[in-house]
Amino acid sequence: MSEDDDKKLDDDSSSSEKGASEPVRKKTIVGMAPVGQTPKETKGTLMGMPAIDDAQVEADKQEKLAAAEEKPAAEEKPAAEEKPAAEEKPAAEEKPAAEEKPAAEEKPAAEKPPAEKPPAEKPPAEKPPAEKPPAEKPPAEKPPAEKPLAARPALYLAEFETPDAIVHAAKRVRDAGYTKWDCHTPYALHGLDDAMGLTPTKIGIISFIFGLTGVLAAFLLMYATNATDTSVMGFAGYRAIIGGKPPGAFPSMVPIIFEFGILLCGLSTLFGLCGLVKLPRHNHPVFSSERFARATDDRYFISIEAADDRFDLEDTRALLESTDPSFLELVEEDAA
Amino acid sequence: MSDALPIDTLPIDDSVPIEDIGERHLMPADMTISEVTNLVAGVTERPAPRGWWILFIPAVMLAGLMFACLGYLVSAGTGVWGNNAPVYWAWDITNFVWWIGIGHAGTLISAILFLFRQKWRTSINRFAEAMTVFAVLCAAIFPALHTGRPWLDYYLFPIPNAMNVWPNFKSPLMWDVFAVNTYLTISVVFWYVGLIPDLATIRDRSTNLLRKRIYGFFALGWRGSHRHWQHYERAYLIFAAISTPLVLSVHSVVSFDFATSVIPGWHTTIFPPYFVTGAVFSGFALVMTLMLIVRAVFGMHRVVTLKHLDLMTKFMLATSMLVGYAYAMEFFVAWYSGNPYEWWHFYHTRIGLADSTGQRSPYFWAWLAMVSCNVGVPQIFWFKFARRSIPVMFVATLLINVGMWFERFVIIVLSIHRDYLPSAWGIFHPTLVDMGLYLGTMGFFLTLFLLFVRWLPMFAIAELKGILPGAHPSHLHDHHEPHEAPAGELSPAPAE
Repeated sequence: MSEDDDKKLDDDSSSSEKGASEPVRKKTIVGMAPVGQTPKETKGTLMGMPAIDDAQVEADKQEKLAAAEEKPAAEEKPAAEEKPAAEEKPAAEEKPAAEEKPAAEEKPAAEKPPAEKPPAEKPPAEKPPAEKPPAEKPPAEKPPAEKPLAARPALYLAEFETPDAIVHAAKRVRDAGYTKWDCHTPYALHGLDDAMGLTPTKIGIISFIFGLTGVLAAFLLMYATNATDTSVMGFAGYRAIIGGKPPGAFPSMVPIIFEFGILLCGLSTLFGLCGLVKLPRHNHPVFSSERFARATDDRYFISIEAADDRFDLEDTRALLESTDPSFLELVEEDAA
Repeated sequence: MSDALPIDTLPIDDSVPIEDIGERHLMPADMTISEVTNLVAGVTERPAPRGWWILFIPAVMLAGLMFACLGYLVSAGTGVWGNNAPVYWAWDITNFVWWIGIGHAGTLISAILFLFRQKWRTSINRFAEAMTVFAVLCAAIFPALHTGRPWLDYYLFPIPNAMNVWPNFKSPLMWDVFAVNTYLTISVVFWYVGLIPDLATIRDRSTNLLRKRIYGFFALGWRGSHRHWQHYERAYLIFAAISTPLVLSVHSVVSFDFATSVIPGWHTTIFPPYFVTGAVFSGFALVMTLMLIVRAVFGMHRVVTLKHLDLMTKFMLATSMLVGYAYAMEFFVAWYSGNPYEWWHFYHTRIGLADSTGQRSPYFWAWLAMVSCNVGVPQIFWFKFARRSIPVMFVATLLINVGMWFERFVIIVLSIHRDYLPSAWGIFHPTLVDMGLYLGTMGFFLTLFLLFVRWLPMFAIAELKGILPGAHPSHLHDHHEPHEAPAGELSPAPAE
């Protein structure tokens, strides 16, 4: 952690120098969660758990993260899972706006897992008391360090390394009541709809309506041009009797009705999609983050926009930190 | 092709039942998400390998030949083709049907296999969709020219005009106009929508500003947002759902061009399913031919594994049997209908038995070529060694495409060169322009295709990532657990 802190300080100093002279986008590394966590832990450690992870990382460093030995830790999982699950409910019932509190309240809880873990094999001994103080520091100390920076915050960006981690974090953010937030994933991640509390998409309605429009339009076109000789807007149709079939014979219209319905349905789905996701869009604050390039590669991100009513520099960060991101940063808008 | 061989030694788990091959462990077990990105996006970032140039240069030359033939054809008129009474539809329409059919496999792979949740499609769908678009472009050239005065082709569209002349919507040729245009449009849209997230991946990897701008422009500002993915996935499903009947309708409509006539050999109700099956069959074969080449040239053996190829050969075997059934049923119906013209046509012109005057049809070899390539050759895929052997697959898929071209030739030219009146019989001789145009469209197709594999993500990056082990939250897979328990040890979820 100390290295990270140093880095952060470096960043801060350099960026504040820059900030004075040239108003570029600045990124502030707020807190670095350890990188080596395994999915099991992210699942197990729900809230206010950096302590465990630090301990885990230390343990990992010592043991070189031998994958084979990690498997026994899987037995840890159920044990660790039960408790946080139990704790989650009280946390959710509490007013989520004050996220600091649950985090603080859970620290005692954080002590429990080590107490119970001994039955599970390896890492227990080093864990309990030694690492926790450093872990508690970041939330407490960092905020003051950043506040002096003047630029307007655009969003918080938290990076996760596994699907489990982001689904888990998304549930936390959803339960905290945020609305202007998003998950960014390299592919469509199953289960995130529920985790984000999204309502089902309505795009099918657009496609259906325009598909029907195409069907009707094709029928009317053929009827007006081939089956009547009345004039529409100066253009008259012509009653054509071809192949012994009467003008307006419906069976011969079916293929074109079908194709035209499909055509309009497909095009409306394309444009409906663009409209719903508001996509051709020139820029977005998330692109200011250099790490965000990996959102289309192999990392999973959660962004919470500053425009959200519940957004608060400290509370939001505390919430995100408690979800164990592998990286967390405050992306700022152009100061200019 | 030979350099493809040594790398095809990936472990193939034969103990897994077939439904599991379709569902799980498609990718090598140590494949990671970022490796997929690097493999696929990397192709667009490195200089083209030599094999690419070896294919590209001849392809461009052949494309040039196509444009030369087109220019000559338009300036001199369709008389430069060998078409003449009674064979007014010859290579041009044969090529049209052949190319359209090839395109169908692309839609089948991207849409129908998507609806059936065949996850192995993710390694071939982008490829096949691109092939669809280019094949339909090549196909569209022929009927557009076959009108004789292509500069008047706008008559085909219902454009209000001062003469009050409207298209005859009762004509199957008019249905073709709508079907092919719709098919081309929807295929392009489907392809492009699938490309958006992958273009964003390339954009985010680009270090060069020009690349960032160009890919960024076409990526529309995609940022992987799950609020977008949610709509996107549904839109993709809708495209798949409308493309499936569309692809079936397009070749059905193409077959109506023939089936609604009264020519013996054309006037039959089996044509729509028969054409669609044949289309899928030939398209799969061409996807595979190209896949084998590209796989070797760009070293994509880890994305397109032998498992994928194995599944594709089985698909070809199945469609080959369907096509064989259609061939047999044509004969049966010709006999069972009691129509003497129909039956005479089949035993005389198709299988080449001598008629009462002792004459043989000059074209019986075409029917033989068709049956042996389409029904005979694929039978080799009953054997496992053939489903695992790249050279066998390569030769077989080429032969299948030759056979499918002959199928269209048999249906079109053989049927009209001998109709009811012996005095109206004739024979067709292709001219150099016929041949040049056919070869030229191949070059044009290959040029577009090679440009595609060079500059666009040739595999669906985002979809491939979605099928890697561990790509989705673990609790979602819990209910699969008993199902995949035996294979569990084989892939310890390395993506995490």
